[in-house]
Amino acid sequence: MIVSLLVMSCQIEDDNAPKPDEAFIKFYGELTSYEASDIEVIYDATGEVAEGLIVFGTKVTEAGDKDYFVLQTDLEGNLVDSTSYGFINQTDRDFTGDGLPDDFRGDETAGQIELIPGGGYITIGTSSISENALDISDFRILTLAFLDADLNLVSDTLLTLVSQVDNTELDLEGNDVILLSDGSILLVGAKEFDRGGGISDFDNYFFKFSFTDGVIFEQTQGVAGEDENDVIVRAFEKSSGNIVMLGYSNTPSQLGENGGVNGTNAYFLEIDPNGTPVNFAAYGLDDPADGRIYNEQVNDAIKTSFGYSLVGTSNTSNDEQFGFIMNLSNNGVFLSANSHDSSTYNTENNTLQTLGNGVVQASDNSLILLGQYLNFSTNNLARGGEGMYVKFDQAAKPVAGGENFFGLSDGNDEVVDAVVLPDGKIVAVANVDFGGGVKLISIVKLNDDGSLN
Amino acid sequence: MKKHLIAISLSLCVYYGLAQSSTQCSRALAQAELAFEQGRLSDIINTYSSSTSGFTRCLQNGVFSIDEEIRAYKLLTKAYLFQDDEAKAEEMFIELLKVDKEHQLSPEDPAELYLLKDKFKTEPILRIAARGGANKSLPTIIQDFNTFQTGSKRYNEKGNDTGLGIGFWAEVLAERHLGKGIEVGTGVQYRITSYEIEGEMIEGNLNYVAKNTSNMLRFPLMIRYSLNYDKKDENGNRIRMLPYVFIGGSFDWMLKAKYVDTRRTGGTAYTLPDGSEDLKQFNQVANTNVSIMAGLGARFRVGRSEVDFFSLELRYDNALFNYINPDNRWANEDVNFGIGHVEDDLTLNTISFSVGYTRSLYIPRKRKEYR
Repeated sequence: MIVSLLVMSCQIEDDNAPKPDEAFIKFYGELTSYEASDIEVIYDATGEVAEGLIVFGTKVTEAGDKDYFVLQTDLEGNLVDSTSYGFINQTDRDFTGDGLPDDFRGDETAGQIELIPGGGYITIGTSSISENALDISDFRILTLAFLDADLNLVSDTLLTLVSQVDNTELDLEGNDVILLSDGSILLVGAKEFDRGGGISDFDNYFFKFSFTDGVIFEQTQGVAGEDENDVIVRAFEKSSGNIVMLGYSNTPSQLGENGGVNGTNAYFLEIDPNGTPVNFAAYGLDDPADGRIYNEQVNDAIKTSFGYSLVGTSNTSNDEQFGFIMNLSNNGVFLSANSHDSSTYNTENNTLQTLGNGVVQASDNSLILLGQYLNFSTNNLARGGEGMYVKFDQAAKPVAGGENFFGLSDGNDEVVDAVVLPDGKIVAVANVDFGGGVKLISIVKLNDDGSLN
Repeated sequence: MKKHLIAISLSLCVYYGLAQSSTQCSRALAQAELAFEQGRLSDIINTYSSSTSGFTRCLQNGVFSIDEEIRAYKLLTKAYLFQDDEAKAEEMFIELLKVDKEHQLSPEDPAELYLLKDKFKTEPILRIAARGGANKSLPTIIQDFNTFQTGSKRYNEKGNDTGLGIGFWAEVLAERHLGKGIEVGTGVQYRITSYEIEGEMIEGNLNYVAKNTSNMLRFPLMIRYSLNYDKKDENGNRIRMLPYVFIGGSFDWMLKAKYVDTRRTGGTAYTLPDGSEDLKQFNQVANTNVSIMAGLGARFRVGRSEVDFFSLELRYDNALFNYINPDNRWANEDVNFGIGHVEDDLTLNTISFSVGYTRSLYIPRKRKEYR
């Protein structure tokens, strides 16, 4: 009898018990250190049925350098496939202009991943390359990769763009890539200049090309001057064919303070299909009460139902950091903005500093700021850097009960980005720090209030 | 010194007096039995009726040994029975049953005594059983959940870190015989169960061990069938070993559930901090459950009357519902992120071994139809 009971162990399943796809936390990594920068939903050929998730980031290789890392999972967070690749000078390119192929290896910084309709992906990032014999270090170049649907690097080749072929001091950063409706591809980022007195500053960089017509335009735009940096972070195509690019700039703001000397503001730039700027605007957060200056560094932006939402971190003149969210209309008109010093978790600190990394618009149209709480204590528990999840309404006001933190109590964890699934659930991607150099990518499926249950 | 001598002398006198009484009582009992054989029933009854007789004083002052006391009351029962004084015979028989709970008649006993015994309840009104032992948890996964891609969690494998999932339990049951070796029992049980999980997040680099311990108050109800319950061997003695099987169910009430020695290695080693180990606090376990159980064992008659038992038992407990509260599976971030662990949906089943002692309780009385 006992044996039969053992074999036919009885159990009654609760019909209301959550199934595996209702919430999960998944860690990914095989060796030591992995970091994500972007997550997207993979849809089927019709573009209507969600089939999985794709995460773009980096991993530390056994050789000790960073490579790009692409991770594909199903909608329940189960690993489907992964790949990694990094810059090596396979084609004997001579970036340094010395007439000899360069023996470079790169440390990659991931930007964004774009899905190609019908299958495949484009990734963009920045490779920091060094070559000791040539006394070159931290030479940053834009690197672009095409992956097929099985995550194979097409032609085993990483495409590269440099700021200036004969100057390894000047960097070119790749931040975003989008496929345009005419079939061409737009790359955006920031290009560094030497304006005659050495390395000066970055300007906005946008580069459009197609496989049939070659380069359509390669443009820069921004404020010239020492450390007057202008950086495009994300780009979106409007139905008119114009392109909206969002980032940060030292252009004085039209609303709020201008960031003071070398101050930085959120930046809206619209260009026509030929790359000609048609509209721009800069906005900064303001705090006239205590005279603090906020310098906004935009880290992510999304197209929303009302226009655009930008998020990033405001670095204040009091050496504080606060994640912020800013909402603009389709034409770049300022709608609302707010910085986030958490009143929920700052039970023992006067101000809890935060970092803003990503943003997603929930199914109820609220906006979720993703990032990091710096060290804090709550309910007598000391926490290290924790992943941050904060919900704002469209007026950029925090939604009550829409705040949560994630991560190890003592790790330097951060939430990087998120997507909304067709069922309204949020899937956030986080970098979770286990200490001792072990850092894993984590995908967390949440309710839209940030809860896991 | 003088005082010591007096004390020693008094002790010797008392000891001699008692020895003399015991011998005299044995002799008085033997004389009474001889009188019965000779048919002098009135002499026996008169002797017992006289409070000053040696026989009566031996019986009332407890000088008889247990065996002698049984013989004495049985003798008086028979004497009154043959004198047609049924009331006194029943009175004596009750006294006999007080001394020898389930007095077994011998073939030599008269038919009248058998008839008299049939009028009485000689079986226990209740048995109180106390058992205790060790259990081994056998968690049965309903649906698995993981935070990592290898997906393999090992339960109770006694690997480098995991243990065997050994716990302990004890119960007190009230049992009653229904007839033909079938008994029912119910009572209360306190059970400590643990299971240990080893998870390998990154092979060789990032591992954890989570030990889940729960304390339950359980209310079992079981029905048992014993072989040899009323059987006697060829010598007319009751068979001492009673093998049995049982089935039953239990209502389980969770008192406490917590993680013990739960830690992660790899990265910066991490041990689950105080305040994060309580699954009840985070409402992560079911507060109640229902189990079914089955088992087998053997009871061995012990004691002079052989009405109490020593028992050995093997039991399987199978919970019917999820041990984990799925609504709050992810409620404890120190476990989810810090350790990297999430509980599977599972039924917490156990196999257990116990030893026990059963005490039979009696109220000797006439059956209802003879009152």
